[in-house]
Amino acid sequence: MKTIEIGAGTTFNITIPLDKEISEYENVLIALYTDKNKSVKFSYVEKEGYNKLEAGSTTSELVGVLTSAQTDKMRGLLTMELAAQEIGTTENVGKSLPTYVKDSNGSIVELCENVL
Amino acid sequence: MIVDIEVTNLEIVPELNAVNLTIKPTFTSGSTVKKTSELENDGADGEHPFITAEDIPGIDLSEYQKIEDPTLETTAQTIAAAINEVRTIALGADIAFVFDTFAAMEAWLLIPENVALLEIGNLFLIRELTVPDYWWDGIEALELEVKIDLTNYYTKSEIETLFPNETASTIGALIETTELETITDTTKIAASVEGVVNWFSGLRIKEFLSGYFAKLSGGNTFSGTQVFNDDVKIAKTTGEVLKLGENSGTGSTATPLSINMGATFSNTAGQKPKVALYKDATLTLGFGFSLNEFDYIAHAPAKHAFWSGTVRDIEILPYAGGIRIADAGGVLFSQSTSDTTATIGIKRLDNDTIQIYDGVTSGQYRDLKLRKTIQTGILEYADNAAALAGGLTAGMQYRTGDLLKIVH
Repeated sequence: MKTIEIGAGTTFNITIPLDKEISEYENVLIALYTDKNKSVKFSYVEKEGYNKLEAGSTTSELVGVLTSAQTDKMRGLLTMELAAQEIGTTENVGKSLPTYVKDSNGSIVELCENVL
Repeated sequence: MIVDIEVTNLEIVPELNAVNLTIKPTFTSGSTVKKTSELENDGADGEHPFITAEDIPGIDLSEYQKIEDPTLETTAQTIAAAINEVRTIALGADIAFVFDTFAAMEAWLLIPENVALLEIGNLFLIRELTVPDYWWDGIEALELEVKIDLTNYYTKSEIETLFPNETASTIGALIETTELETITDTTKIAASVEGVVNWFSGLRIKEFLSGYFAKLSGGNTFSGTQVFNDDVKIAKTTGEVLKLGENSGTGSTATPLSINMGATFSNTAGQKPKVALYKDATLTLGFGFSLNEFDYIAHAPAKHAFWSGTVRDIEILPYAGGIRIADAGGVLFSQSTSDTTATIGIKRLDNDTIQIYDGVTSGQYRDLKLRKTIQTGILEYADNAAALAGGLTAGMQYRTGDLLKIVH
């Protein structure tokens, strides 16, 4: 178990390197949530109820930020899910199953409150 | 198409209080594209409803700011106001209470709850302009000692009273302008200015309103040549009224103090002297000068006297009165001041004798006895011996009865 302490003002910076150019996708979506409370979802195309994914340092990279106000409410095992949408359709070109976020050692990440 | 997602980087950055998460998706071809919702866990099951930015409103402190905390040792009793109060003090300001009037401050201080809020040094700032501000000494409000004393200055209304037809700014502008000489509207300047309504141009002082002149108190110094285009009158009527020079120099000098009256002179004999030492309604007496004559003009039948101190040496009486010379003096007639032999003179010795100046023996007079001859005629003696005994000398005449004789 990998425990990450979430304190006041902690932000989550998410980077998503894609296989192809961003422009070849109609949309890319990602969700982060825990098993204890609410989660956050992102979208490259602006959508109501979604945080915005932005182009990163390369044309095939997306970045998103969980604000401190959002991470402050996230506790428990961290899960993620991703879906990509084909251009011109509403069909998914690919979609993952919800899966735990693991660190480089394969440990499941758990978010807990920083008591300091 | 199935997407596998892998966390390729999970990094905690304590100094930034941030977590960096890199997610690498891998699209596996050959799989069936699934037409479904974009994300499985969209919160539809109610177990994990997504949160959005709208789910996290800003903190509303409006109610919190109204909560009073009596334990606060600040004047303000709410947290927000107390913070502001402390901030104000930290920035260097004293705590001050602002009132519209002095009366409002007094009324406020009558309330014990208000006084309880005060600390030594608190300021009472009063918006009213004509009253000072105050400070709290722990017992009572005292007048701030630092203030500007304006008692010697005119107020705006007082200036407007002094200059009723013009505002003070206009008067100031008139004074500053170089066009002062163009002011002709006498109503623009009030006669209420004490006794003086004049305008000035350089060193000239002109009468501006009839009856109002410039008044200069004593002690003024005029440097350089002053030009008076009209009479100069000295109003003092007694004592010494005019001094020229500092009266401190004595002795001979190449530049004695002088009065220059130019080269004009009267065209009427015996009148209009250049220096009038006496003048009344009809007479003007004094000295007149022309290129060829020095006139001494006196009033007939005045005497003309010459004094040495308190001694009248010579006086010339009016017409037919003759010339009087002091008893001890004489009259000398000389052709030369250095040759006494060319001098003749005459003076009175006594009732019987006049003396003739002896030009050979300087300073000596010789008696000339005339009285007995003049008053009694030729003296009578009995004979020659009697005549000699009577003081006659050889050659003088005497008579014996009707007989005229010569002393021998």
